[in-house]
Amino acid sequence: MELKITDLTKDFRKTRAVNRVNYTFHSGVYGLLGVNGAGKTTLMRMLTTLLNPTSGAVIWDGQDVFQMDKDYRRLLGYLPQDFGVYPDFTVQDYLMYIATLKGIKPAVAKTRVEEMLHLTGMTQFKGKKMKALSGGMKRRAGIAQAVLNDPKILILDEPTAGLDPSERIRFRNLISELAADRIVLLSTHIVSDVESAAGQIILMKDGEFLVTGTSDEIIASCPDRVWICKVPKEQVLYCHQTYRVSNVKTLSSGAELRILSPEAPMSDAVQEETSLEDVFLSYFGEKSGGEDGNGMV
Amino acid sequence: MAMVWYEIKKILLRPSCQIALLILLVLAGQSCYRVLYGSEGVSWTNELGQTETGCAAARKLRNAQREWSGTLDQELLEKALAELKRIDSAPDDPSLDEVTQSNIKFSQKQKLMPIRTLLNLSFKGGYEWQYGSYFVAEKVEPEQLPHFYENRIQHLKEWLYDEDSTGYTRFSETEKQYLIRNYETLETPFQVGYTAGWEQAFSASYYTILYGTILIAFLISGVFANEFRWKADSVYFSTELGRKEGSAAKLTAGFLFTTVVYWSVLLAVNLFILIFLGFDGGNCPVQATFHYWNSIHHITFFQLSLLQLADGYVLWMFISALVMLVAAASRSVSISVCVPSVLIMVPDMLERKVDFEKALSLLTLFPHRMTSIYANRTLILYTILGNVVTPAFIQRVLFSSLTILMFAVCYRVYRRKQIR
Repeated sequence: MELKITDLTKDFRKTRAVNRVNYTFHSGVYGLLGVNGAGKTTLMRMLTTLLNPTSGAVIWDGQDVFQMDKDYRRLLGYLPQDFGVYPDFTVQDYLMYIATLKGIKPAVAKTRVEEMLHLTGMTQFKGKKMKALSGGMKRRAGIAQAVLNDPKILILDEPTAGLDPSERIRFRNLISELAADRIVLLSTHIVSDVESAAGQIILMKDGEFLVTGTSDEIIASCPDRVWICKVPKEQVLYCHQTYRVSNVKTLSSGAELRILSPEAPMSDAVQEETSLEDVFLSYFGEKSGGEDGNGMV
Repeated sequence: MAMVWYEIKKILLRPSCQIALLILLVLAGQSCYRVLYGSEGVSWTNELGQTETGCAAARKLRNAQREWSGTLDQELLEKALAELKRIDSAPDDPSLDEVTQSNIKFSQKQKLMPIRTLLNLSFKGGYEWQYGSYFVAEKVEPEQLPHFYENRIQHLKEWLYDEDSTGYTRFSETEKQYLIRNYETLETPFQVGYTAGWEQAFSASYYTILYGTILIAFLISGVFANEFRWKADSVYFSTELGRKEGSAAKLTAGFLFTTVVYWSVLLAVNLFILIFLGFDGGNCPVQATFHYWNSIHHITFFQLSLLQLADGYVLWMFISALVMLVAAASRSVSISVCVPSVLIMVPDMLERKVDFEKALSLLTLFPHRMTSIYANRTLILYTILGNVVTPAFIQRVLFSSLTILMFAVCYRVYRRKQIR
């Protein structure tokens, strides 16, 4: 089981969304981390054959996926970022329909749909119309449709966007359950999602893979260290302008800052253990807040 | 087939589509009601001179005219003329007002109306209907009757070669000869009789087919646009069967849905009207009635109905194919609904506004004319590569071909939209 991308590039008019990316995926969970506009969705849409690459190739076990056509799509499960549904279908209708589109035989489909409803905790809502579902429940239905065909390659684009914390925890547990014997590529700009679920993490920036590796390897690759400094109120602004501050905690005497820097920013600074969030800030800087402010969660 | 069923289910489950289907049923029901009880529907004037409408009136009219139905030969013509003259010469009741007296006479003549109408048309003195022609029948003399069928051909010839007539400049010499040959080859004597059921079924079908095109356009518009509208396209196209088979399923669903809705509604309308107004007269040539006396189509009323339904089906399929093509190309429901609506409505409005003679030959070829082409009293012909053809022939070939072509193009366009 090997999904290989070689020199994969996608241009949209004058913009290069993905730039000569090379990587090989094997069985396991991969977290694709990057700010909005990093090229994650474009990469994923190429992996699902919804976008033609400008150059380069996507190879599954030695075969070009665009040549494989539906033989490749048979292996695929996809939950897009902008996930729309058929509003007048019930959850069960919807899943049965997607099962049909995935070429699952009706008798098998019925059982699979029941299983997926159970797995995603949607059994009691199976008769509810899709348009009546909350955002979180729609996402659950989205996960269910993605795994209906027991895919070898599961691509989840921002699956936790808009979910509340308990839904996100539930979702992360679900990913862990689904991870066995398949490639799961999970794109997000929410650090904690990949930190807990992904065995391999890919940091993507400006259409390129910046760093890849396990969580520890990514942390080790970070040029910055984390320092805790207590400063008076009047120095907070100066510190913000001079260093990368990942967190500010207000104290009665001033503020406790979490600063990213290769060297100790001040003599009384205490070094802390680096987390993936710190690495994210270190690599993506000001952009890491993201448009919806979720980058640091 | 499961994919096709889900596509149809997507249409049927939309509340707006359910409303559109309901409107279509109301439209069909209203067409039926209009021919039964409306001012243009079948009516019966009783012996007191009062007008009745509805099924009972139709039954009375049918029974009365049944006695005077059959082959319209010299014997029947003479018999009918004598009866008309007898009724006309009967003394009036001086105690009644003029209108009531006229209505009572009309009530007595109703049984003869199909023959009386043809006498008016044959002996009116020209090709085109003129004011006063309505009262010609009773003035015809028995010795004129042998010219009854001949007059139809003679009027055409005069109209075509009289420099002051509209027919003189409208047709080429080849077309004129074609028309004369056509008139001469019409089989006579006619079968004549009560044809109101078929005529009213034609009228009701016309409105149902024409306005139904707008509704079917609305119903079908989502088939190729819904995935984009609901942002469900990424999942749909990333599935194993969502591309090639998905496109085929959508086309099949559009085709099947249009077919089932069309035939269900139109057969229901026709059967309803024919059951209530009667199947009599199906074997009468269309020329045996007022509206079709000048027709160049040698068909019976039964054949007219079949052709209208077939042409209406071609029209609906054409509209469906067009809507699906526009939706596949534009990914928009609203644009796909607008295009056929404009194609149907604009020529219809133009026809009423612009100079009729000049615009007619072009506008006749537009789809809105598809189901009324046989009812068109103005003769239009086209000469293509030396052959004279009727608008009906051109339309049938043109729209059938375009429909098949658009189905094929729609499939290709949608397939190309799947990957960017």
